[in-house]
Amino acid sequence: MKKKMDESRFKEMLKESINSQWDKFEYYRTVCKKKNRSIHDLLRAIDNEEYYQIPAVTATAFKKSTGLFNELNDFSQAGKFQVSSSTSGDPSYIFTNPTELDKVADNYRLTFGIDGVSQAIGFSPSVRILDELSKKAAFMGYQSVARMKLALDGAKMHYSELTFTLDVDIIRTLLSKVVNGKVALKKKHLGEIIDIISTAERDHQKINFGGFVLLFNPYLEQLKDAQFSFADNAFFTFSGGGYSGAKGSMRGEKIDKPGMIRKIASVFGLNKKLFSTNLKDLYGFTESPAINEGYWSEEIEDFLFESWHESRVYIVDPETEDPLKNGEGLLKFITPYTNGNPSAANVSVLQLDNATIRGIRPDLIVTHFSHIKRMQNASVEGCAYKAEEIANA
Amino acid sequence: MKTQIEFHDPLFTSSLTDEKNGLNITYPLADEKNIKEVASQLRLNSEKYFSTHSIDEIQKISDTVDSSFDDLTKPENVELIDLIQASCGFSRYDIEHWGLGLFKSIANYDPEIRGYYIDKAIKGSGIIQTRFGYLKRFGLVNPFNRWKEPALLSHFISGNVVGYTAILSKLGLPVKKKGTAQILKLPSTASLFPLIYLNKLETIDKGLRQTIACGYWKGGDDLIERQIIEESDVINILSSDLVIKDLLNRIKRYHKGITALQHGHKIGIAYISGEFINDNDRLEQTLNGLVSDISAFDGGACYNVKNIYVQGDPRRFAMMLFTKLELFEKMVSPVSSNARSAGTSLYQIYRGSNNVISSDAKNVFVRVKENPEFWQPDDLFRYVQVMRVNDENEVYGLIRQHKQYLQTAIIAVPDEKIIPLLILLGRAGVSNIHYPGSAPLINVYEEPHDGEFDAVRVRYNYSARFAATNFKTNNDWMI
Repeated sequence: MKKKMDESRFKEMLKESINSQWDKFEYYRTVCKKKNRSIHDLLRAIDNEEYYQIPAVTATAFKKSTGLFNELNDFSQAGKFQVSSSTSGDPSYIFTNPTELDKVADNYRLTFGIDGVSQAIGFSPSVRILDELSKKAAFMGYQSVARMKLALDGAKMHYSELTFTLDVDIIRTLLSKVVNGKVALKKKHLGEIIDIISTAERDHQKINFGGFVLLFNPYLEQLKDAQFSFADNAFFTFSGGGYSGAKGSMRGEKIDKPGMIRKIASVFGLNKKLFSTNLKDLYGFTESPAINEGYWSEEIEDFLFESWHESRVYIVDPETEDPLKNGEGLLKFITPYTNGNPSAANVSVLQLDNATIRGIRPDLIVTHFSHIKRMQNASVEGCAYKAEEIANA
Repeated sequence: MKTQIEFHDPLFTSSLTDEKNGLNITYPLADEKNIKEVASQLRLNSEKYFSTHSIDEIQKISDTVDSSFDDLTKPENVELIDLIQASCGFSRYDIEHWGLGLFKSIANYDPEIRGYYIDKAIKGSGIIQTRFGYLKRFGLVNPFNRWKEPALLSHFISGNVVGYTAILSKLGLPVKKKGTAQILKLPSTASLFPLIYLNKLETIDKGLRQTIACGYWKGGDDLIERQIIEESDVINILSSDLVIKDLLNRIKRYHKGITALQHGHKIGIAYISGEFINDNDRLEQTLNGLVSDISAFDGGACYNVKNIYVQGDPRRFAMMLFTKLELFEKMVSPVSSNARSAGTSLYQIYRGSNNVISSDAKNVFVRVKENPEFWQPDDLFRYVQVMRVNDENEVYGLIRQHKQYLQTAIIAVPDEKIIPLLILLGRAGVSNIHYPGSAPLINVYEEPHDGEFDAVRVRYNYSARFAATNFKTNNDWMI
């Protein structure tokens, strides 16, 4: 169960984190200076609960290609780099202290875990694969951990029976290591998946289907309509996006969300009434510990996300970064460190994802949002910018 | 009330009207139903026109069109610049100097020696002294390839740089034997210059105008593009690497074996040697020139400098450059906000970094990097990276792996190093080696475009590459 954080406790933790971030990172002080904010302004904003006044560091500043590691991370404390899945080919590296790493894993436990459900199928690479990927991602003499690995750690804390669909094929890997040194992977056969599901159905056992839609959907497509009848015993917890057809090194077909939801309902016998309780997507990103839960809404034909309870979320104008009252803008997350001691300048982060405001408080804090999509910059087309296409054609 | 502007094409007779920055502009539109007929009519028009007009006659007509943009104080040109500025948002300075200014050098080039240096470079292997610089061929000429006049040349153009988008129509004019019919894709509403240029041509010679069809279609529309590919003998592509790849795939399917010229995304570089860093007067002139090379068309053109390699302290250089860039943007070449896309930029990523000097208006961005690299910025604009290098050989090592992105290099080096740098950078893949302040000024009669002499290449696959300088000594540009 997520525990609601008292506002005064939130303020206290945020003040400690912001003070510490200000002291440690010249980069952050410069960002604030350019916005004409002193540390006193930031603390006053916290007192007045006007958190939007706290300038943010753009999430993409943590990308490997920017070379800003020394300016954005504090290596004076113990920690590891959290590494993103690198869909763009340019992963983010965020140095994270042990307390915060545990916190991220626990956040995943809370959001992947469904009360009263102990069995799950993870449509994801296994812990073994992610351990290997984490090892390979070591950087600047520091260990790294894939953010995805923290998600699995969280899931493992909750589920006593957890099966992954993608694992290392040990025999083929041993053979191929001799030939080309490559790791061979194996996917669970559809039959194995059907066996697990059928057993759960027969035993009236609750089961959660979690992980990446890109790995889940190919199985779903092969299942027949009305193949199972779970009523309210089946849960779905997707994570990591990938609806565009790409996630990390995984590639697949673009996924039509409403179409996928209809197919799930049809295959598993899920009543429409259960969509808003049993069908969930998680939205998070490596630059922030926040993990936002979104339940399917038939009305908006998308997942309706509730802002992470330990963050203050705003949707802001891309140019001015001012908070918006309605419509679409960039997501800004303000999340204090659990121990008040940031290991990276990510207490206030501007994520370059567009989202639509669905619920907002009078103080401009966004409570619900939907329709998340990656922001696109002007593209480069040969000589000069890609000029706008003619509208009426 | 919105200003109404109407453009028509003799062959693409469909049209559409689009609103752009307070202008209502009517454009010719390619229609999938009659592409084949248009191509056929173009070939007939072309056959008739080029068999009855000599190369000299056509050259004179072309020079007359180009010369019409010489006097920018003429009321019709003032009106024209206003119109271009309203549609594309770039500064008057850029439109006048780097857009229309281009035609002056073409029209004024000695007619007697046009083609002479290009011919010499294809045939010879040494360094050729041209009128304004040096030219060198890289690679061997395939002796089995023969000159072949295409019947239809089609241009697939993206981008909105004034001048360059229209100059392409010259590729169809006769070089040795006869001219060719042409189809030009109009990129967008922000890029109406090709139509302005062709309108001017129409007032001077209707017959020549009728050898060219210019209109808009949505890039990637296979119903139209398939027919154009099937009808064409040569395709000239100026676009993103993605579009080039897509078109090449379709050319392979629909008309295998035809010539396809590829001009993809480019990233400019500059190399400033110690002699120009340590001498204040030389440094001042170098910086003044670089400011134009970085700022022309808001940093969005293929020739703009993005990587600056200096044989000296990069931070000091960057600080001085930034001051001049910011001033230049404010005083000389401001860009209308509608020319810039909304959204995030490198400014937002680096705004807190002590290795970046950026303006509050987010238009200018100079990053300092001690460890040099070949930087491929995600955004264009006036964003540059200044890096310390030991010498030009280090520059060569950094850029040679990125051949596909190389085109323009600005150099500030002692006289005796100009030719060695032509050889070194040319070997890496650079094609246009210019003095500071001249990045946008391509001289089509003695300089290649991305290593190619397009007007020849559409007719003859010489299978080599070329590089040229646009100066012989530093006295050519330094005061």
